[in-house]
Amino acid sequence: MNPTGQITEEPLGDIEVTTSDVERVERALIDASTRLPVMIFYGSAIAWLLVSTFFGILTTIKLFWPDLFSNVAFLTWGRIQPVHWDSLIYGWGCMAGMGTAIWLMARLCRTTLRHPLVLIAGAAFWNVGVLMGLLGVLGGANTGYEWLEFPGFSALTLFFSYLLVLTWGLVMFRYRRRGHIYITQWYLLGAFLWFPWLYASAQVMLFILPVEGVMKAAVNWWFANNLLFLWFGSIGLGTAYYMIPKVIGRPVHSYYLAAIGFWSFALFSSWTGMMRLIDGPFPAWMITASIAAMILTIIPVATVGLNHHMTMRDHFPLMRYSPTLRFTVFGAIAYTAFSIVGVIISLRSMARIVSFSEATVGWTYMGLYAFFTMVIFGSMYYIVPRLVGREWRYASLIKLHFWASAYGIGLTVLLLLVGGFVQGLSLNDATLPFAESTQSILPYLRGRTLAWILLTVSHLVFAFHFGLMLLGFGRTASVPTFLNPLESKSGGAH
Amino acid sequence: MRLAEIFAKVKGYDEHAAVIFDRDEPIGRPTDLVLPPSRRSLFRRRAAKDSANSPNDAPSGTRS
Amino acid sequence: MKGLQSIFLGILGIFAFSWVGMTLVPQLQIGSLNPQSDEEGTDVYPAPTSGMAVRGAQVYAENGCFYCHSQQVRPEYGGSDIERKWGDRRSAPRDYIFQPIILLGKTRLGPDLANVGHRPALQENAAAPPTGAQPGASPTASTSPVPNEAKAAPDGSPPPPTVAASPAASVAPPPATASAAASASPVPGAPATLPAAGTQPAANVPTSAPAMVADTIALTSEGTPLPYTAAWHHRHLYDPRSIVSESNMPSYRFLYQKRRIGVVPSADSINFAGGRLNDSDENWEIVPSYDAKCLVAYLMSLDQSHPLKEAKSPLTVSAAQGKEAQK
Repeated sequence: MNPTGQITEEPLGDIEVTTSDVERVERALIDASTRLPVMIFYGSAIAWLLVSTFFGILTTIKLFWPDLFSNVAFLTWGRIQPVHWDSLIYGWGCMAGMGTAIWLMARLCRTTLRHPLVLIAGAAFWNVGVLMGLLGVLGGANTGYEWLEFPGFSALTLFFSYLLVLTWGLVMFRYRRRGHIYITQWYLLGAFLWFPWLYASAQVMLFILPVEGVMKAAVNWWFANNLLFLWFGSIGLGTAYYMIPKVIGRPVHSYYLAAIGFWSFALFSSWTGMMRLIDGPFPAWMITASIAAMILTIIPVATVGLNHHMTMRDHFPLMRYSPTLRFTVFGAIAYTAFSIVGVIISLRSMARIVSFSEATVGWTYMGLYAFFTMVIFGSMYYIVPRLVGREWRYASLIKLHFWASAYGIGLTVLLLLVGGFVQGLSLNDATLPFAESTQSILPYLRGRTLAWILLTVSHLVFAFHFGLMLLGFGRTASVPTFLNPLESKSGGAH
Repeated sequence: MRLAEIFAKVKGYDEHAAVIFDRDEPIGRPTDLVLPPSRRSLFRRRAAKDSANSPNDAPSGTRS
Repeated sequence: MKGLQSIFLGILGIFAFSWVGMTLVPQLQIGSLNPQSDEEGTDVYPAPTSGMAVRGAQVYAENGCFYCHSQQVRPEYGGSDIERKWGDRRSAPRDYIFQPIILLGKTRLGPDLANVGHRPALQENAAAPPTGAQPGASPTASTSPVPNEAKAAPDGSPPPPTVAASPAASVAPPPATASAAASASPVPGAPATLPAAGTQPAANVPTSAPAMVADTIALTSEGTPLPYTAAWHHRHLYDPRSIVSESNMPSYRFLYQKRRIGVVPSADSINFAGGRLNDSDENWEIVPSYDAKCLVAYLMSLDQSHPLKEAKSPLTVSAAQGKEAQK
């Protein structure tokens, strides 16, 4: 049976309605109901991605060209750096992640999206919150805590907006269709419930009922690592567990393993925060606990990696044709690499060298971009056509997007990890003046600008392509936008 | 008996893995595909309506 | 549905475990530390940050200084921080109990600043005869010295006249390979050596109301301010590359104001007789804004050199003995 042929057949007409047809209709209805909120989240996210990319280029350039715009207060490096990160995290990451999560929730609850206005309001307020936060930071309102720089009014707006999204999610879940709750939904439920607790705790413990002294730093990094793992990581892993099986048409290899992976992931990654403060002014047990937790995260990482590999076995060639699969598998592999690097830099002997170097920055990019962002790109390539009813117009643009992002982030991470190591070695050698360490990493930082140019190209291409879809200029051909044209007319190759 | 229960439970897990498939998008068929032409017209018609309409009840099977 | 209940419980329970274990329990352990004092209840450390330094911490945070500078000294086994003279001992939680914002930092594109307010005293000590006096012992430089003043002993007593004979003169322009901020410390090993001959800077007597700018700044023989003094910080913030040519630290000119000199140069001006910045001429002076003064006051307040019982190091042991001898 030729699957592609089957799907392009004309239906038999309304007289004979099969279960399969009904399911198709349902699925189309569900997809259609998610269109407006998800496209709003996606569109906003892409706009923030471009903002972040622009500031990203500027920050990399200013590292070796410090006098560029040096007299302008709102362009000083110490202000545009947090704007770059926070627009990436809260603008791009959170909104794209929420967009995908919304679509997945609707699909997995097997019910059309209810109360879209709640989500649209959530998106609007989130955008306002991010904008206010970024403008605040540029204007000189940084709180002093990484990833939590936004001033209070902005944080409050974000939190309120999130509560709208969470409420929607819980209502959807309440009205879900009976049946087993798929693994993706565990990850999404986790993410949706963990985030507000995480964000509220951080805001309260740092600003409202502040903890004393260095505990603020502990809370800061507990928040940051948990955001990376339990919010972005969960959404990313959950998405991959849906996309990979769905695209290749094979169920997850071992669901039991997936369940173990989920629980061990939640348990261990939530304790890793202090690996950012190794040998800092803290009780030793806190730091040791985080290092141990980092090492233990190898367990869930191994289960996820094994599962995806076994699911994909014999189907790797499909990556040639499916954009979603390419991005998602890249992301899944990056997740494994990200975890391994995380363990390595947490070991005390290594931490001694790289603790204050750019290596940790590279590691964060691995998690946030190489893993999470690439998986989300993949999900967007799958979801957007199902929302607008058209296919992506240019396979070449998809390919360009993929390779520019892959090489861009690969180069960034490599330069920062290696450069950071070199910098750390120099820092650790007290016979060398301090200046040596920064000089030693400068060549790598110059290279990093090149990598960001690649990423800029990639994001502009994707934004343009998405814009085409948004405006209804997608392809209406019945043949899907495979990345490499099918060899025969009957559409045989998969 | 206990061991058999555990085995049954673990075996049951693999059924959970199949919930995202159904007769329309079954196991064995890749789905990174566009909606076929017939679905597109349905899509446009439905998109104009209130999205809060609940779908028809299906006679059987699970889908997501 | 039983399965659903367990999922929810699991999700919330696991997170509660992390929240309690990583934030609440440590808060119980180190969340209500008091400053350390000796038996008589004197020699309290640390002292609360106050005055301009509190605002200075905000300025530091607002301009993102913490993205390049750390403020934590690691123990000897953890890194080379102590070897680099960034501190006598490792940092401990008690050091930070009165910090308005905790700015431990995570990256060192610039040197660690946990003890940057102590470095002028380190330079003085290297010059002073070994009487055990440590003017930099208590970090109570909370009120900002007028920026032109060299960092006086914060307990108010005038520094010994030997402050003029600081070996910092030989250190003033840091080694040619420079970077984000000038070299973190005097040439390694400097505190143990006496000043090189022939590098006597101008005499310096700090007063609370300086008359002429040139009188009140500790200068090297080349006329540049002694490293890590307030004047030096202003210079460095205004134009890092005038101090260290290869530094990639951004310049914070927007915190300063360039204006025509009036009848006499302002007491605050940072381009004083004997040392002009690159781009100033005779008729102009560069004056720090209030934020700049606060920032420098904050930097001068960063001092963890006071010994702590829970964080010993060989240096603090001998200092404690010196203090015992003083009483």
